[in-house]
Amino acid sequence: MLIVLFAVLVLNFVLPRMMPGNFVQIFVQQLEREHPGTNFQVLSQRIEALYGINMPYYAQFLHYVQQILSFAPNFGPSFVYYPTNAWFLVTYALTWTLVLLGVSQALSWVFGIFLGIYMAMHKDKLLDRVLQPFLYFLNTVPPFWLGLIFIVVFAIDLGLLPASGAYDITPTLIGVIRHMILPAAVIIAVTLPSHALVVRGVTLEVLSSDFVTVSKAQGLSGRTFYGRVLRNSMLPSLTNLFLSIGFLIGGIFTVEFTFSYPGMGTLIATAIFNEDYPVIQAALYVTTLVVLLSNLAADLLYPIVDPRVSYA
Amino acid sequence: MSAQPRSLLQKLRKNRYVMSGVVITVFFVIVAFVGLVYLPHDPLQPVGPDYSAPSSQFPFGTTFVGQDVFSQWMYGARSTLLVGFLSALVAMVIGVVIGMVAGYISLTDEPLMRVTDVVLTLPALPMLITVAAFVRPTIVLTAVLIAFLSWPAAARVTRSNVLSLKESPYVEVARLSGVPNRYIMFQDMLRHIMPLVLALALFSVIGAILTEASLDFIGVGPSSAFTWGAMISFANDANAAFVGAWWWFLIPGLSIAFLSTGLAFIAYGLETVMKEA
Repeated sequence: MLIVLFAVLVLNFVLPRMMPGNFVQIFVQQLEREHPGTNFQVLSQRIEALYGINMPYYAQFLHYVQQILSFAPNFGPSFVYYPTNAWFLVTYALTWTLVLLGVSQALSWVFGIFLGIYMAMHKDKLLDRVLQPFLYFLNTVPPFWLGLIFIVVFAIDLGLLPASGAYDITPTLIGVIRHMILPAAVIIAVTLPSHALVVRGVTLEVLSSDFVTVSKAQGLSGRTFYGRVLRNSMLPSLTNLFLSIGFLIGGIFTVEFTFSYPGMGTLIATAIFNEDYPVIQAALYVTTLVVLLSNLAADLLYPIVDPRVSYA
Repeated sequence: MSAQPRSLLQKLRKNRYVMSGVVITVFFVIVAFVGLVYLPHDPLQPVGPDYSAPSSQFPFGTTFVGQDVFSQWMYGARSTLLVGFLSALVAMVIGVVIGMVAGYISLTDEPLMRVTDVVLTLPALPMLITVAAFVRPTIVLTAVLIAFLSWPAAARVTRSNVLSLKESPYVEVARLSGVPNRYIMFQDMLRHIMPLVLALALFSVIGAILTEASLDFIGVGPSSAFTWGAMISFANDANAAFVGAWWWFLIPGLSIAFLSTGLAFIAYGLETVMKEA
């Protein structure tokens, strides 16, 4: 896992140096354009010091890693919000992203499990046969496009919910929830299929296992029976939940951008528009951390959910 | 038992998922090829009134500067398909070679699978966004970059199949009779796992198309190419949703979804037929 983090650090280190011309000059020019009237000389010295630009490459890299691993990680000042450190912009945006991610995935996972088990229990009945191709379809819908459709239908035509932002003028609980409904609904809609299809597949396997036959022979039905099946189907879907976050998070970024939700996606998109490179780099670093932590969580949760797994 | 389908191809032909998938995919391929020789209007020039709703003259309406959405849709098909299939091809070549070597030569198994796991963990889209923000790639480079981050699935599946194939009698016979390893790996075994690789390749096409569209949407799409993703992105930049010009982005998004569903149908069908065989 540390290798992944290292790979991302190397990438972040190499990318500015791959830009045509001297990237320090590009950075300083960018800063000047955003903030005319700042002392050019001082800026240029600060940036050079930050990247240790006069040292040999290996020393630059060590210097860079040292800056990132210090607290708070120093990615340099944001060009647009100079002199705020890019790190603080990213951590603020991350909070919103994590809230959206947590709420939508919790709901999507629970719905997915019930839908998947239902489909498996009624395999080849009408609903299963209709739902399967529909879920395949939903699985491939571009999330940001679904967001645009939701805006047109629910925010513009029906006027039910706000189309952009995360709160009204001041954040209130009701306002925050109202603003979250549409983006969360989009994310649930596009992630539900994978959860449901995974659970459906696992449940079909569980249903053909010996203990189910025995349970049926014992005359078990209703809640106890569902409980047993549920418990056995949960582990793979929990893995799917946490391991899919690396894949998911990019999609969530695009949805946030669609709804101008103040999370990482919107931050990255505006940073790209303004060529605010330190913010883009900090965002990639934080995203990688989140993905790695969710993978770690998956590993740690295994033995709790499934007593058969143990690392001892 | 009468008229049991014998070959794989015959079984595929009987599979409803595969056939509907093929019909959908072929439709979009035809659209792309027709677009090469005939477009009703110049897709990038203003040819009509701004924001006109779908009509007989402009079946999919026009954009905010009066470009014909129908022509853009036909024109965008080729780049979208190019990214998808090129990226999948590169990803499959990398993945199959790595999986094959890891599975067949036990000494390389551990290190190669470690690398595979690392690449699998990398957050692909955020990484691509960052790379593209610094060095704005062309459409071919975009496809290759997507492939570099999406081969691990193919590597894993290939490896696990090679591991079991290695023990099978026909491979042992081949080895004992002195067939060179590279023939066993890239002819005998490859032929065996080809249908599986094909199914994975189709999922890879879907992933690449979605990824490219997302890059376009965030604002770092390939600079010179015009894809369905770019259409949605332009529509979003012009606030098409807020002025009610749904026709601008409805069709490109639906096309991505339908094409992907078609490809997924073929892939799922392939997998089911393989399992039955």
